[in-house]
Amino acid sequence: MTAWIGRTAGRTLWYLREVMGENAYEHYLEHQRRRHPDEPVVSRREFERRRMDERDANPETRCC
Amino acid sequence: MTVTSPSSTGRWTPQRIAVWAAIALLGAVAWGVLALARGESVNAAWLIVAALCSYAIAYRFYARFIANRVLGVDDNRATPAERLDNDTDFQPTDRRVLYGHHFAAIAGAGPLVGPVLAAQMGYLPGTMWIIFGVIFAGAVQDMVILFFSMRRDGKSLGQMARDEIGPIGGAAALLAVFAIMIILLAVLALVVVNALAQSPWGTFSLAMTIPIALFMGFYLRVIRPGRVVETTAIGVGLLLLAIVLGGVIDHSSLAEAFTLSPQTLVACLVIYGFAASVLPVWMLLAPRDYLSTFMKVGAIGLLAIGILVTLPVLENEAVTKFASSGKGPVFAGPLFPFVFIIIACGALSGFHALIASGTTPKLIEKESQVRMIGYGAMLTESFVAVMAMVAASILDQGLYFAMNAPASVVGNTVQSASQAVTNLGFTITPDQLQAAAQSVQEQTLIARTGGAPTLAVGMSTIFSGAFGGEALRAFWYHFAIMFEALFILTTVDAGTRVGRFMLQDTLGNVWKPMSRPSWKPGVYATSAIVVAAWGYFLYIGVTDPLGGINQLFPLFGIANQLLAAVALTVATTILIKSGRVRWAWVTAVPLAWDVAVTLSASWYKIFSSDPLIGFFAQRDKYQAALDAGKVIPPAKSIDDVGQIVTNSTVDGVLSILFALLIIVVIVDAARVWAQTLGGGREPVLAEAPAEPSRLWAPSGLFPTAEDRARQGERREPQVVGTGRDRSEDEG
Repeated sequence: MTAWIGRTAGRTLWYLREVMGENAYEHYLEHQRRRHPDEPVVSRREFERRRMDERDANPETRCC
Repeated sequence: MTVTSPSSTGRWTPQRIAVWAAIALLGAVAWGVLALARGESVNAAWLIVAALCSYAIAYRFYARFIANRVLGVDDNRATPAERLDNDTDFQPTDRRVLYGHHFAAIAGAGPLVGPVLAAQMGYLPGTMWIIFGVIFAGAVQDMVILFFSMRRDGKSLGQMARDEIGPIGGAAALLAVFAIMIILLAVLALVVVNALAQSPWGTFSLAMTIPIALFMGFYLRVIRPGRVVETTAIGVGLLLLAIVLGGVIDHSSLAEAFTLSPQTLVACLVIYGFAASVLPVWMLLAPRDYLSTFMKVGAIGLLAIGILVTLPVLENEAVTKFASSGKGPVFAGPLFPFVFIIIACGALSGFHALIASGTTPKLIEKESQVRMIGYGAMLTESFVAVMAMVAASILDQGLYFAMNAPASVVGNTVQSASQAVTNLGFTITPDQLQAAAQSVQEQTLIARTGGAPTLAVGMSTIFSGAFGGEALRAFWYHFAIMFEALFILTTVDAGTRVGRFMLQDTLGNVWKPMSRPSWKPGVYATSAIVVAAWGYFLYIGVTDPLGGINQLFPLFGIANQLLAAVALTVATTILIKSGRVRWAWVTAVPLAWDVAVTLSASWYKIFSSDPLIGFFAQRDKYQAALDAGKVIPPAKSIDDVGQIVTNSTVDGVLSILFALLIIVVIVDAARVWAQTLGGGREPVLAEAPAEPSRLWAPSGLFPTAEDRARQGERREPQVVGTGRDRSEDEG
């Protein structure tokens, strides 16, 4: 039972972090490692700043 | 191109057949109870059961048929997310995560407001349209547009219309998109104004979301970059605190300062909309978006639990007399076409085509996932609409009409409202009206049109029944108001920004600097134009002596359904051009229905001789009064009469524009269909070239045994450990 609760909580947190984009930096590191292993990576602060500023130029529509 | 083999449907074991037969039977019984109940009270559970069983069958059979047979989804073909993966806009995303994104983007206040208004005709017509509409039209549209956009590297609806139909159809589609955006923003903002006017509690809590969002933005930018979950948790905590504080403000001397007239609120919203659209997104827009997404999903989940726990009984009739008379006070006009116009979101919403051809197609991992994400997310939105119908239908019908009829019908006092409700054929005493307002700590509930307050009363009844009892009723009411207003404002923020970019793009064709995002004068000018456009309609909606919601909401519905017609036309054109004429009915039948609804509603709005329905009949009536210098009610002065004349003219011209746009798109598409079917010209499809896929991912929510088996077959040594396999261990 406790194991089940722990697993469910873990999955819920994973889901929340994924949906809200908290894991974007990890995905970026993963992407760089796989596709461009010799390029340097930027810091989390810098990455988040760029990612947010990208939304300035590409607004997402929200529906009704 | 190989079509996913039918063997992936799995084998029809006796257990499986029994389960689906049971679901079908249960659904049929629930529909039977809803349709045959006359006079006796019906439990809301039957609505929920009918909806869920219908969705299950539609998702399992119809959506699967469309994905496999009509679209021919091919999981051996790489999606743009896989081919063009750049870790920003193109990025293979876990299907469940993408479903969450997509649902948050499509669902908003629309599915909550429309059903509340449509409840004036009874719960049955609206519910039937919500459920059958989504199954055969709305979810189909979302899924096919998502698929076609995905096959074109995430092209927008406007681009697809231009590529597949032609420049005229394309231009008309673009104009339609812009027009609907303006009307949508105005009507949604009108819902907020009507919910907050004269309500210090609501106004205070909503105003507090601005400093909360600014704080969250700063925290996320400077203190803890990227920690979205933690930031949102803090924000939600502050938000709940703001709602509680609102109750304190309500009883204090500060209440006066937060009691704003509708006109003042319009000015606030316009200034806010402008600021939100020119400020960098990290300051205001992004943190509000996190908050509103969280509140949206949370409140919808609570509502579902609340309904299941309390199992309320419906007070509404299955079909009221207004269904046949067409003389209802909430909106005028007969059941066909107006129920189908008033309920757009939740059944068929053209606006979704913009999202299904926006970011989602660039993130999808596997072609077959269009079913779960496109069709599935729309089914979920439809379920939200069903819950809104429940919330509106459990109210006492006297209270429902006192709240939703415009002030021109019910007046301003509990006495006049009670009298007006009696004239409509329902009963509610002045004392009961007063008590209802006091129980949620509002000054009045009379003529609180727009759907949000009604929904909030319904939700507070459900919530206080499920959690916390009577003591928390006022809190839940303002919680519901807050969550609706919050995500309406998020739509207004985002919509103004998107509208600004569209305008910048268009004007950039004429004068280059306009399209440069960094050129501030261009940014300010285009933002101001967009804000002024929806602000104008908002203002005339707020001040309309005839009541803004009943005048403007049908226009919003028509505009939304018009966009759906554009989307379904594009889809039908692509099916025909790709040699799948025999399957074209899948989009052509909903298209025909949608065109019939939209054009007949436009016909009523333009040509009806009843001044309650036809804009020009209305104009003539008040113009005659104006010429004679007579003040006829509900106008209170000769200025009011003049204003009605202006409003009716503007609304009428807009109706004509919408009807013409739809006709242009369809005629232009029909030309392409005829050319293709006549064999006169080899059809040119704008699909991106096929490339083999190297990724594996399940199609549905749960990976099946067969999924796992195929994964073994398909995985190639060089892609082991792509980092995208984490999804296999989950769910």
